[in-house]
Amino acid sequence: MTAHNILRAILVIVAVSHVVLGLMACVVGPVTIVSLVSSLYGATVTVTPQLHHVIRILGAFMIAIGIMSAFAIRDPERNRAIVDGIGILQILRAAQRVIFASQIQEIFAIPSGRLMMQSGFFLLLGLVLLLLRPHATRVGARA
Amino acid sequence: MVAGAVPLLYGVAALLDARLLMDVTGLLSRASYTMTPELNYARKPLGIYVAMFGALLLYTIVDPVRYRAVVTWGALLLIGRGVQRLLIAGELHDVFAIPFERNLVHVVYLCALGTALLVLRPTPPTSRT
Repeated sequence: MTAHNILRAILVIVAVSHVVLGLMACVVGPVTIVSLVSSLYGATVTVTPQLHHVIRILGAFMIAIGIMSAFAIRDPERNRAIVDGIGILQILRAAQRVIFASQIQEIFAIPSGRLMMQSGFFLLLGLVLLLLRPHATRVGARA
Repeated sequence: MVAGAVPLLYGVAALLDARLLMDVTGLLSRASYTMTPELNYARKPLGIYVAMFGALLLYTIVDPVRYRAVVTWGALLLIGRGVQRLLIAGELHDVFAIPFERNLVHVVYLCALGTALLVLRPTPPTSRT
């Protein structure tokens, strides 16, 4: 498997997960959100009407990022900025989980092991995306 | 540039400071709400996504033809957010005390910006054989 194929496979994971989770965040009701968050993240959450609205906004942005990722799957060289952006996004998400770990555990009762595992996963995803992104000179030569 | 800079600044504000976010939403939407611990956490991932979306949209200035897909989907998201706000206007009024006329201003702004991006986006280069 070439680096190019690994990059595209990761972009597929990013695209599918973002579009599916984003659609769910936009469409499903508070009861389903509670059970989804519990099974996916191991978190306990009370979905107030205000939080529900924020989750729907987050869902809309996740769908947009997922679709942009889908464009990058088709042509990673042309869409190098998208690959960079999504790589940085994943690293920021991992950093945010580590920095606010105690707050997350306190509010959502997520076990620390699971939280660290999730952070490690996002960090790895981001780093691999940035490492395997098409080289600038190759992109320049193609343009 | 407006379409990218606003989400970038808004996302960074949401990410950095709860008080700043409340001031900005209060100023722009006249929204009123209590920052619960869950909301206080949710603003951070939301801020990252909104800021990254804005940064990507802003980056298309470098080469709008090459990043036409970003412009297209950025525009569709803006229109989608406008429609979303229109559909849940009642809920926004009940939950956040956002006045209907203020919400309508946001709906028009988002839809107009998205439509302008769609209309003005560069046409894809035709391949010459």
